[in-house]
Amino acid sequence: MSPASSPLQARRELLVGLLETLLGESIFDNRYSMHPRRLSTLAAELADNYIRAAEGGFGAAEGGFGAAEGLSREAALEEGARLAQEGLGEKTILRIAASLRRFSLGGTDEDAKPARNQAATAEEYTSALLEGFITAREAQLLRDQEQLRRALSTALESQSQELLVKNHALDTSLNGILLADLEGRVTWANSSFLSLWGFTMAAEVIDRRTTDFWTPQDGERVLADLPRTGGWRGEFIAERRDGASFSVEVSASVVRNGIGEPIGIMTSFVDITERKRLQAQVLQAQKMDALGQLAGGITHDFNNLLTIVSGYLQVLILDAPRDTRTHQDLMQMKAAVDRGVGLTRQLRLFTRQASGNRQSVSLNEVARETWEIFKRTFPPEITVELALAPSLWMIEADSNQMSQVLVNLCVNARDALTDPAAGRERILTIETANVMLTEERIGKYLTARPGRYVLLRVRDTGTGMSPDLLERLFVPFVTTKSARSGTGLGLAVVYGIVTSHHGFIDVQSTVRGGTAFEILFPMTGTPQEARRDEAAAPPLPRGHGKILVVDDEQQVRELISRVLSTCGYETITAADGSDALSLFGEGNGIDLVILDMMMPGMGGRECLARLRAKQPGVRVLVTTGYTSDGSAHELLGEGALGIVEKPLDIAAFAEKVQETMGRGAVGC
Amino acid sequence: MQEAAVVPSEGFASIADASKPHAGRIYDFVLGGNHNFEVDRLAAKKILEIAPFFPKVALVIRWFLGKAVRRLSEEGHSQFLDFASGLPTIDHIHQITRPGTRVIYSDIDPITVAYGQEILKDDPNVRYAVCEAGKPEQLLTSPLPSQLYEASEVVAIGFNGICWFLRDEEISHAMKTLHAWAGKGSRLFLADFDFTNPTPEAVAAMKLYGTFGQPARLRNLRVLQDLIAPWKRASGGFRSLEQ
Repeated sequence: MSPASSPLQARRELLVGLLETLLGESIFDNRYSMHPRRLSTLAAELADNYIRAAEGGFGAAEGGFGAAEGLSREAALEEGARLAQEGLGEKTILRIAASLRRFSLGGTDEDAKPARNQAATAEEYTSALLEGFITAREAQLLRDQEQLRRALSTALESQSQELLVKNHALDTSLNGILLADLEGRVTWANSSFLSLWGFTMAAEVIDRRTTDFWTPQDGERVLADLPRTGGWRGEFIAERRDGASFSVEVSASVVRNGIGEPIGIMTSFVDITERKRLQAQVLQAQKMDALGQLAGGITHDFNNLLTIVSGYLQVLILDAPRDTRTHQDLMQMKAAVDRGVGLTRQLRLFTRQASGNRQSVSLNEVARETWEIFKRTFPPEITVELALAPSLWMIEADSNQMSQVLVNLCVNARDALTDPAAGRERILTIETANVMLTEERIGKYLTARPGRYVLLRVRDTGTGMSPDLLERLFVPFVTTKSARSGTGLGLAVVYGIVTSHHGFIDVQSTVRGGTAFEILFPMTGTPQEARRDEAAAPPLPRGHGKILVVDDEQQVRELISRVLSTCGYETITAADGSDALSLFGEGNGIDLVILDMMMPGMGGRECLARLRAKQPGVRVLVTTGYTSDGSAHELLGEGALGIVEKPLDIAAFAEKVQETMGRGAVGC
Repeated sequence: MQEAAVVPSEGFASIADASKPHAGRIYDFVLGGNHNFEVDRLAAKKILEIAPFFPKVALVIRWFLGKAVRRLSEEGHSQFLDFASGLPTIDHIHQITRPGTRVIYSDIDPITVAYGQEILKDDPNVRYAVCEAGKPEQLLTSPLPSQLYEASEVVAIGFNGICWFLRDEEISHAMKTLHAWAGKGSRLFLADFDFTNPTPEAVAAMKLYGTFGQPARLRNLRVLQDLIAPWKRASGGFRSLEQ
């Protein structure tokens, strides 16, 4: 019987239809990649293979019962495996097998003629198909499981590395970190925490209460409230294991798992000692600045009054016959006024108002000369050591003011060393050194920059100072001495001089531990010849010419005019800059202008500029009783020929006028 | 616009944690895969008790992805970008497209990504990167797209089964960002649920499923259409499952 006309071939379309329907119903059981094209060909393929097996034989070799068109068992196994690899579903293959078996039995097929051997063939064929399918699925499962295992291992490795990185970050954080369980028992501490609190091993803190390291008060209450509050932050003074105290900022928070349940407590510690110290320095500097401004304002007014009183006194003294009672009385009055002048000068130094006479100075020479004069005031039981660096760099400074700094510091040291509470060892050391200020050391000095500095250090082994006193050390009139022995301005003056020279000052002191003042001045040159000798004040010199006196204070105008008239000059006066300009421009033939720096409305600087605009070679002397940051000196660069400080030293003033009148007109 | 109803979540479990069910592994099991554990199969059974249609939902979404990918492949797209890809194991983009197609998968969970990278390591045309679906710029500004794609960046972008995990503003931001980045001719294929009239079973099923992943937001079609601007509906556009 030929295949074309066999009963099975005649029923082929029926079988294909059955399988197509089956596959259509099982659509979601199969991989998408099989849909729709593969499924449309699969029904015909399965039907043809079954018919081939049923008619041509199914068995060990190709051809089965001898027919060349049969199907081998291996082919059926391969077919099953291929269907599994293509993504046919388990339920689908089972339904296909069941459908083929039913078809071979006739099942519900109306025209089927069951054949005994066809049923057996169908059974063997579908069994081989299923076996191939299951074997392939098992292999696939094993491969997938292996892939799952590897992928999971990679994922865990990735997670583990992430945890390692996070652990490393926690462990090496500069902040101290403490982990505790919900009962507050410490379970882990990083190395920064151990180092901050002075521990050497984590075992020393594990199992301790985390609240041992929180605020000294209410630690347990804070802990109890933490789950509710979520976090807590505080600052306090803590004590290390070795007893040293430090300022610490503490921040505690609850650690929660992925579903929000609290699982522990994390506390972070930051050493804020340095921050506090810098804040205190900033506050101190701001306070000193405010004080300076206040004192500056008072000094300005006081200076003007002293200028008047001192000036007229000097004139009266000149007029009063010597060896008379009147002359003696006037000298007494001048002595008192001079003391007042000295006081304002000191205050001006504190407020950085006195510009001084700056030149290249060696602090070694200042130290030696000052000490030569000063050592006679020191009691013999105090040992004084000079440790002066060879080849000390030069600084730009007023040597008198440097001397004053040294004197004031030595006076304080002497008082500390002669205090009954001082120890047996009484040593004062004056040191100088060349210093390279690096970035690390700058932290002590808020506005310093790296560079070369000259160090002046004055150390004593005296009574030392408490932290309280250290805080107020440079405030004017703060003193531990009696009113008769000091004004309380000494260290304030030191502060003012140092800062006006763009230097920095630091104090280290502990009670009964001695004191060390350390001052840094910017270096301006290498060692060379130092200061010139001061010229002796000449007698009141005379001259001639017309002088314009500009000052907003009437009494000051009158005083200066009187002095100048005494010296032989003709004077006219102006009360402000505008007045001065109009007088200057009226063909008055002004030879010299005495110009006050600080005037309301048009100030000295603007007036000078306008005078020079009118006449580029105009001679101008600037008077000043109040400057800030050396602004009067800046006018020297803008055409002024000199500066006269108030209160006036009459002789120096007259000399200055004579000298300036003798100079040619300054060209543009 | 009405705030989408939010289904709470108990937290996001890592795929590397075999002690808890994971949404991606449950999905793989439902789709007939082997990348799952007993905890996932038990969790799937719990879902089936409440919503026996759940496996079909997963299959439909995956089948939609398959249809869209096949159609786009036939239109000539050879570059695909997919978000919230999960496990690339059953009928995913690279398994359906033509050989040589370049695919970038992405997922919010770095552990899932590590897992997926291991599975895909032998395929040079496929990459897997960490990216939140609501912040696609994390991926778009990385070197990966320029490494894998041709310069034109005409890309077919998959955003399937994600929107119910995102807030309105996150969807809007993602759509605008993708639209601005994609080259002319790019296409977006997106599958989501229309909860215009949700059945109690659907809400319960989403609630339960959401406990294995992130909070689920239930939106209706109208809201979703507004949120995906400026992407415009292509011809054929939005089709319901019935269609």
